[in-house]
Amino acid sequence: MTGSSIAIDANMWIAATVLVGAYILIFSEIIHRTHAAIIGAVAMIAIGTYVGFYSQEEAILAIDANTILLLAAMMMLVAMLRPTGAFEYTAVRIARLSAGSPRRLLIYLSLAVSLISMVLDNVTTIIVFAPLTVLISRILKLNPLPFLMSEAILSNIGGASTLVGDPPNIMIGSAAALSFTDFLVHLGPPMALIWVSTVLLLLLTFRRQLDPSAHDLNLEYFDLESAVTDRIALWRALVPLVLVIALFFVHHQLELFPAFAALIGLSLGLLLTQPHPETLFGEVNWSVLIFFAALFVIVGGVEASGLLDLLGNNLAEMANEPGKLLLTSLLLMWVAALLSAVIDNIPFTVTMIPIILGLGASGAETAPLWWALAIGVGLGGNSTHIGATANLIAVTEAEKSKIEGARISPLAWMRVGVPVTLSGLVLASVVYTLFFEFFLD
Amino acid sequence: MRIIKGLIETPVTRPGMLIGEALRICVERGVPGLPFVDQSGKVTGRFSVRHAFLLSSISSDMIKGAHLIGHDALCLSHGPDHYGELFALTIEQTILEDAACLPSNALVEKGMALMEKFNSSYLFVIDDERYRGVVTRLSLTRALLEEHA
Repeated sequence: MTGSSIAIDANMWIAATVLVGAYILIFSEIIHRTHAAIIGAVAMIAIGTYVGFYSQEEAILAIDANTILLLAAMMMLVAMLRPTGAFEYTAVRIARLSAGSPRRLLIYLSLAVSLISMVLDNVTTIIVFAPLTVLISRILKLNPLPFLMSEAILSNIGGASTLVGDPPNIMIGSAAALSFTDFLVHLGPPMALIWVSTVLLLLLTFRRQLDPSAHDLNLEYFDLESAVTDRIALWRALVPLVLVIALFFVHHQLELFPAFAALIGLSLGLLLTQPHPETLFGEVNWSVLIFFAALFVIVGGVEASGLLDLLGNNLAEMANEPGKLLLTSLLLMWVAALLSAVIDNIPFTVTMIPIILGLGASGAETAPLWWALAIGVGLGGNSTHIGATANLIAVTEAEKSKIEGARISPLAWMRVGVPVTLSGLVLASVVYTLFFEFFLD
Repeated sequence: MRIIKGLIETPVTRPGMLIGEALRICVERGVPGLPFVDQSGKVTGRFSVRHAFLLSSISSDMIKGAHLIGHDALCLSHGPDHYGELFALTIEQTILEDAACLPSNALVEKGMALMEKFNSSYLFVIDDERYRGVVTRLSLTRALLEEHA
């Protein structure tokens, strides 16, 4: 079917109206985003079934089980690791390693959070690390603001470099059948470059707060021995996680879905740690999982109406020419980043996925578009305090600390976030353009 | 046994009372909290020793990482000025709106169960909207020990 043979019809208009209505409800935050998404999903199924372009069966099939199960399994693995004190041990060990230098402390803490965010959800990582960072800052009599902002920004960058580090990447990887290694190979080097440049920019921005001569840091104020209370429990939680990470590297060769790789590790974890079911399942962020599932159902309705095919066909001509493909990809990267700064990047990603899949079905080269989308949504969230959940956690924790000068206002975030995001995007665009052939794989 | 056996009579707190004054009453009577009454004398909330310190002196990051704080972390110690200023504040900003109450003829077992339910160690005893006093886990335990001595 070609673009010219499809015309926009009533079903498409209806589906688009329900989608726009649901997204307005989600982004306006009149009600909780998950509630809004559920209402939107139910409306899409009901109206789609009544009109005839969508059905309950199609709605269920539209939910990407790989994404939902992968997220759920990783949440449970983190839930098993959290009480062991591994994160606390890491944070205090880092504080001691920094040997009294605020600059080193910022680099080490951000590096740890970024590395952990590459294999675990960065929101969970920040939830655990942010209060520890405030405590470390409080004990060392430092302003926690530079540390909290750096951790959030750099963990977003770290998470954007792997399949499992960022929910949009999980969705992209699942839709495009991209492996953990694919992500690491394609996004790892540019993100590492952006990470280093961002650290330098942050050190420059916060140079006054991080002046070593202005602080007398006593690292003996931390009780490292009390961080891990049960070493056996720690190992029992770490072994399954290491197994999952190892499986991520080979899941494509073993023909395992990433979700199944995570579930294998989770099964081992359940056997070794035998957590209390109420505690374990209580730690799973069901709100996020249901939000994602509802979004899949909403976008599934639009897809079933044929609207996304129409969009894909119309864009195929632009994406089919090699010269235009680079331009299209860069445009997608920047638009994705811009939108991710002001709205939730998940609905945008979920909507873009079938459009890019539609482009692929029309014969267009889609590989560079997937990478451009992942880079855009991954970096864009850093520019505003609402751009990423990790940012919001950092802002909340800074406010809760009640430390003088620690509060991060929206404008204060943007003063740091916008230059950091722009420099990251410029760097990403240069790397992407110079090595465009590489992103065609 | 009825909870009246473990009753501790206390004054109430009112708008304008100082935190230091409320804390002194709590210490003297051995209770963790006092009812807060409005101008009409109706119990509308509670003053809690725990909450007064949570609000002013113990931050959430310190609670989460309490086990990581070294015993000699003197930098976290508030100076005398901090507590002096805290005690001189009026209690309004520390008042919690929830107040678990029960009548004086309620069973001790119900009192204990309510304390568990509300994760509290004390309850206010109110009969016909008239405040009678406070029962604590310890005061009820003392009453039980005396009864079964």
